[in-house]
Amino acid sequence: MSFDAQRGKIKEICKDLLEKGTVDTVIGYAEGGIDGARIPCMCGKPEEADALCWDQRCVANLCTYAYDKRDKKTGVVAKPCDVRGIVNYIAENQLNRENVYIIGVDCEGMAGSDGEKLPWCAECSVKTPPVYDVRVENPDLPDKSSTKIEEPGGMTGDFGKFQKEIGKCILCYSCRQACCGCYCPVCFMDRGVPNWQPAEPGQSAKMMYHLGRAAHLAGRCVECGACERVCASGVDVRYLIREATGFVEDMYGFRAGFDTEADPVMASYDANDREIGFLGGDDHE
Amino acid sequence: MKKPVMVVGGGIAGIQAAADLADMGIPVFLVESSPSIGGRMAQLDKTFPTNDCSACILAPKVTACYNHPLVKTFTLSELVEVRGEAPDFTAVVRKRPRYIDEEKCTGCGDCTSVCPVSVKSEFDMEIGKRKAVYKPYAQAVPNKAVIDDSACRHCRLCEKACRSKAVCYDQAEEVFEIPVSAVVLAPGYDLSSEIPAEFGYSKYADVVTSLEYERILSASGPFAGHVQRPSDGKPPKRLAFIQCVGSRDHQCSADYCSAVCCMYAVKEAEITKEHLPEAEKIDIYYMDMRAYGKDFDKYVDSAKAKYGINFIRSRVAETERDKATGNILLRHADTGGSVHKSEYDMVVLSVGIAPKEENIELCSKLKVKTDRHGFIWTGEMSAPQSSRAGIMACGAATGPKDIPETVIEASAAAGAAAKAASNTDVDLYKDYPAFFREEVETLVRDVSKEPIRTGVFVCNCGVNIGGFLSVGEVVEYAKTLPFVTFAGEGLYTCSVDFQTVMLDRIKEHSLNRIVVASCTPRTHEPLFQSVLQKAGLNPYLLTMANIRDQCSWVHMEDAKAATFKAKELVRMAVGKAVYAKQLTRKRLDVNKAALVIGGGAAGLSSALELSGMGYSVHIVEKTGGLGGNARSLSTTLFGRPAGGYLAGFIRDAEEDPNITVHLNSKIKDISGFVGNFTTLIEALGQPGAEAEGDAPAGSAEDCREAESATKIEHGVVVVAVGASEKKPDAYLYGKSPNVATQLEFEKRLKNGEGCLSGIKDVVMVLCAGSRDESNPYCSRVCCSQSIKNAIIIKEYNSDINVTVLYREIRSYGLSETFYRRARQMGVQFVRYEDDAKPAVAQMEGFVEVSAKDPLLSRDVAYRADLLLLASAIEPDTEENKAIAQMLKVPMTQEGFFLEAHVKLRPVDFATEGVYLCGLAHNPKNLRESIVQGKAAAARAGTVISKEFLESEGAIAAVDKDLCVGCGACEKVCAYKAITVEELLIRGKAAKKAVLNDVLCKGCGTCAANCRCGAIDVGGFSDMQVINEIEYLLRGDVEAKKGWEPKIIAFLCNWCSYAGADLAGTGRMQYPPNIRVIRVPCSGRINPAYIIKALTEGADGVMVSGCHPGDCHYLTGNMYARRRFTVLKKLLETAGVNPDRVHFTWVSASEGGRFAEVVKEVTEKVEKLGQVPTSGQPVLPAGSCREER
Amino acid sequence: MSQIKNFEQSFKKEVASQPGGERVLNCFLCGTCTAGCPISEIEPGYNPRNIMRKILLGMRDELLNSSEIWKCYQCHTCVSHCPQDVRFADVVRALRLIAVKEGMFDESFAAAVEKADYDARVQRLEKVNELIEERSK
Repeated sequence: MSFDAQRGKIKEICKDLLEKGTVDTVIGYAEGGIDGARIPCMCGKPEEADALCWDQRCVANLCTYAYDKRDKKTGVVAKPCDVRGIVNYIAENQLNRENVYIIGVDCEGMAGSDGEKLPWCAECSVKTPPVYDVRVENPDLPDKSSTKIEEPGGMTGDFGKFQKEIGKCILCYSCRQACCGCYCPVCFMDRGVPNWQPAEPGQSAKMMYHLGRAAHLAGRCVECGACERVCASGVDVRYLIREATGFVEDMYGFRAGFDTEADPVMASYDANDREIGFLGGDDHE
Repeated sequence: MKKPVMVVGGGIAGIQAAADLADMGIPVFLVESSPSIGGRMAQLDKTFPTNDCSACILAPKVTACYNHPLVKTFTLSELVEVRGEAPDFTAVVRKRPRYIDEEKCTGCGDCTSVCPVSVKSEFDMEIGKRKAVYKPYAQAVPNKAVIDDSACRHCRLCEKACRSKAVCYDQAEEVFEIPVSAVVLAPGYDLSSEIPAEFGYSKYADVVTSLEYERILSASGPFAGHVQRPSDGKPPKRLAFIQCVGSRDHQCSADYCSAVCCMYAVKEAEITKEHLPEAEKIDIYYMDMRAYGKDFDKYVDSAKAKYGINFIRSRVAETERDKATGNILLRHADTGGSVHKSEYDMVVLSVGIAPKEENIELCSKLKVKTDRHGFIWTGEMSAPQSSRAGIMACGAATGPKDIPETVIEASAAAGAAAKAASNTDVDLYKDYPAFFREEVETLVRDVSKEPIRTGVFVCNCGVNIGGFLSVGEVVEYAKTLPFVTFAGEGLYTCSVDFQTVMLDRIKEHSLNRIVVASCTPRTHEPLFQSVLQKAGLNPYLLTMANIRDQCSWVHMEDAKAATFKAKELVRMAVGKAVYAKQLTRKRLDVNKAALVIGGGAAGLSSALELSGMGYSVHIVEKTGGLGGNARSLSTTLFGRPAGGYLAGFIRDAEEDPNITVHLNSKIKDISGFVGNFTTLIEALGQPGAEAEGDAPAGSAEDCREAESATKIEHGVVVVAVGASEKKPDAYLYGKSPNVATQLEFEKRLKNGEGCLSGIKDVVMVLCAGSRDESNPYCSRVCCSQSIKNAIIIKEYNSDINVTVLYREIRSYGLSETFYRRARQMGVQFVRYEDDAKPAVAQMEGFVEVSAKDPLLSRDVAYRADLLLLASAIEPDTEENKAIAQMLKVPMTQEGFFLEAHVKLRPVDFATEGVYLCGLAHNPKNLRESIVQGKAAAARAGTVISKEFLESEGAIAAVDKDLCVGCGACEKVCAYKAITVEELLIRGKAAKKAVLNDVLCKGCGTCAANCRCGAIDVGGFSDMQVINEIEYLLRGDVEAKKGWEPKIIAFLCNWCSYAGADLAGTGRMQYPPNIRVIRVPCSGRINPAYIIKALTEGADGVMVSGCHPGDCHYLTGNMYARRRFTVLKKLLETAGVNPDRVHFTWVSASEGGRFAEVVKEVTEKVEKLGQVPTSGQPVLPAGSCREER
Repeated sequence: MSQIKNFEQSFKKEVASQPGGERVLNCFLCGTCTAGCPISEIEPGYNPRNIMRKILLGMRDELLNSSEIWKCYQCHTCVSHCPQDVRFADVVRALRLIAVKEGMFDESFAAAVEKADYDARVQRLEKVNELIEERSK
């Protein structure tokens, strides 16, 4: 079932949901973005569902919109990474399961304006939605999506790489705004007291921001690539976060967005967690 | 105020009893014979079964007890006589002279360093040395010197060296006569002195006793933890432990088992393997491995599997020293009968527990009975009551026992003493003026509106600080710091006269922040906080800079660097003081009633004790009658009729007006928290099914009409839900009329069913259900119960042949005497191997039990008219889970309840106000269950005896607007003090974190886990930590020529900060480049602190907490470990050289290791070179990592 | 080896009633006697613990007919080491009395063993005296 077939199925489901009133609004993708990117579209009435579309350019992560509409019953056309975002919200008491109707859509990976598969979709190993109310399959995709990260981006071995990358960063924080994991009322970087930011807003301030955010996303990032997508300066924003996600996966076997009941990895412990790189720890690297 | 109680003995038992009594508002006189309190446990390096460092878990309890306003400690004193009857005793105490004025002495150690005389140190078991004027050990409490006049040559050098004039040779013996309401004897034990000569202890230096070896193992011991042979100092390659030395030995007049040696031998073997991974062979020679306690079998299994300790079941005949090699040969025989001579470099004798000579004299003077071994006698069913009314006895002085049982007996003794004192009344400050002075309450001044005016007081501590760095320079520098209005210096800032100087300065300059640069806050913060209180200031406006233990003492050769570091430490302290908040302890009223869940023996004893103290108690029992499992017991372990005692307890409980019994009832719901619980009790419709035993017939009729649910309010909960016998599923149980369990046999005996008539042969099989896959633990009571039943059978008719097939006889403690008595009555004990369990075949009218005899290595068949199986004790896991969820308390894997600390808080839960006793905690015999019931009552008494409950001062606080209700904090709080609840905020329902001030301990693990920064901790707030970092790194103290690495070290207060202090008291020098930031727990360290330190220009960061498992707040370091591991990976990816950031664990006794870690970290950071100060790229591309 | 089925549990009482055997019931078979015994060191078959085990089990005939009980050298090392004060050396003499009384061994054999012990002591003393003389030259 290619994109077109899935689009038909999605429209049908959304119309049916709106007619029956199981949800107040449905969030999906519609045409009209700059250079062909699909934009989020909220349909209130069954006929509005006609504007929905589904193709290689539906990149945006819609779960942040579901979060905005968390008080009302909402249907969401959700790629697997969107679903994981929703699962994360539910696990962190931000959304309750009854208020969101997940239309899980198998996804073989989205493409940029140049038709090339986006880097985070190329690395993505979760082709089918882990949780859904209804699923729009794509049979020529492998059925069971593995929870293991196939080839983690991995450090490039060049330890100067991150410094070069954040050289380009202008601290505009749009990656924070786009991220479904960043919903704190006041981000630690914006707080005057305690002033986490170092003296000058230079490289070290960017260090503080990117390292701090990576630490906050360890075991929470759903690898949807939104941060890199919105970055105005073309910074490889996912470099650190991908490292943390891969590391948490092979250290504690935990990956975000699969189970709403699971204890978050950084808020649980195991008596014999490994102590890599600790002085006097049991396993030295 | 109640009339004071006297506690004799300052070991862990005395400390627990004194602390419990004081927490119940009853003043205590603690009489200790040695110069400091802590007892035997202070000499231990680690404790089983958790390998906790003994100092880490003991020190907080010792200091809390010693500093308690209602506890007055007499050191170097003995109780001579007790006149009168309870509760109007007059205790006569003789205090030997210390020759040091305790008021003046600050424990600075100047006298010790000049004293020319050095003698053997009793604390180090005569292996290490000490001076004639000495402190028993580095962290001794009270931290005062003492002069040993037998060794002292009166050269008066110490008198000259002591700047606070504390030495006074002419101090004389004093005798006090003190009216007290009760006496708790906890005088402890001695190692057995009768060591069989054939073990060569007196002949060979490398044969040491277990307590000597404990000192050899200890990092604060004579060899600083480097295990070595006393003869030539070489680390031993092969080590042997010999068990039962001076125990289970009729020739040493020790017919009892000392109950603890098996387990401490396994611990010492494990710790040896940790210190000497290259040790080839560590063997333990034993007869029965008595691992009867909670998680003990798991501990022994880990010794075998993880540490490779081998256990050799054979008793060593003698030791010889091989002249040529100087090694020790052990002669022992294996099960097959062949004799071996195994060679070892070192042999440790697991010497048993013996009653102290002085205790026997003391008891005769006090007219208190001792048993035939010399232990203080306590009634089996009325323990800890001694033979004289008003005098209780607890701990190893009443019989060999492990620390948890000691602590339980001590709490029970405190409860009994509280009952004795309950109807006395004195005016403490008028009747005991010499000992208790009333704290004058001063009006606290609110400084929140005042401009910040900081006073800095820098101490010389005699020569200990002033001798190694320029205090004057530090004072001058302090004057230049922002917000500092006054800076001054004192010879001893902790001395009484300087405290008045401080009071004057505070008034004169109307100071509202105080920085004291002196020694460690761990010992002196309470003292200076009391000075602030006297000056009308909130005590939390104090900040201390540790410029002695962590500066002058450890940088003795480089006064310039030490002075520079002291200035920076003062600058950090001022930075922290600027953001100090006026923290107040929140108050909460307390409902004085108590709820006891479970009406068995433990529940009953707990309820009776609580009502004895004057509180109303509700017992909820699910069956139709009280008594629980105890109803099936015919006799107690010592042969007394159990039924009679139990009937007495049940009658007292039913007739007691304070106690309301809810039969056939179940807990529907428990809500609330300590001091304010609300419970719904649900009657179970028609009277519940008949309980195990025969519930008294009368109870069915008078059971109240079953309304839906009664609601009760109470302040504490005692969980005494018990456990039940697991019916065996082997040995033809249930299939043959000749087979029954020991408990069933006892019930038949009790009901006089004549079940022994016509019986010729009885066979018993032990471990029938315990120590297998389904129940991998020892049920503790079945060996002694089987022996008791065997003796009863032999007493009935000695011609009946009784054969006991056992895997291991675990008749621990005094019940070993019954094992000997049973053998003497002709009972035959035959061992069977775990992998060759006995087989049972049904014959005509009898069963045949065949088992392979390991000694004869032949199969033997025994005829049995009656086969009794020692079945396992199993928790009712489903019911326990329901209660555990309601009370938010944890459970063990096996389904029992998990107490707060297996060793020192065996009756408490981590959640305040909930206590545990009886089989619900772990299998135990009737006496132990009853004593634990009393202990639970006493611990509960410490809460409901209070008019109001006070929270800790430095606790967390939640900012509702910043919280998103994600629940990360709730998941990491070991005390369930913070929960996410649905609140109505501005009309909208929202999920927010809600803190329960009384339960919060202030560890800060939730604050560091909160991404939104909604939680902050008083006293260690984010702003204070950040300000310490910024005050240190922004702008230099003075233009410095060469570059010196500046390393920030985050240390957890309880273990690593104490380890750093110990490096100071041990004068272990290390580079002066670290600047310590003290945090309550490694769990408090937000990864952003470390990133902030790096981005502000720190050249390196070091983080150290307690070893996992040692955490004072139970699990803080566990969460921290994951955070640090992920952060280390992130920092490396971000191009920060991994050698700049180090994480480690240092315990309170690892002073040496702390110094080594600091050296290692400083060298690594020095090699990497300077990090550019903030503002420039933290690590210019490409320069951040040289090729490894 | 065949399964042991018939044994007289009363045998241990019989030994206990013999002079020297009173403490046989104290034994908990820890093996210290075997470990310290100079005879068991040189004669692997000889194992005092097994003798005690057979007494307690009641293998009367096998024990009284066995030659083991005559190998004991009466040096009393086991008596000094035994943690339960069983005094095995006396127990062995009690067994020898029963064996002779029951006719498993005749009086002359017992006397011969006594004699052998005596001769061994004499021989040892002579050897020691020779050594002392040589040393004094």
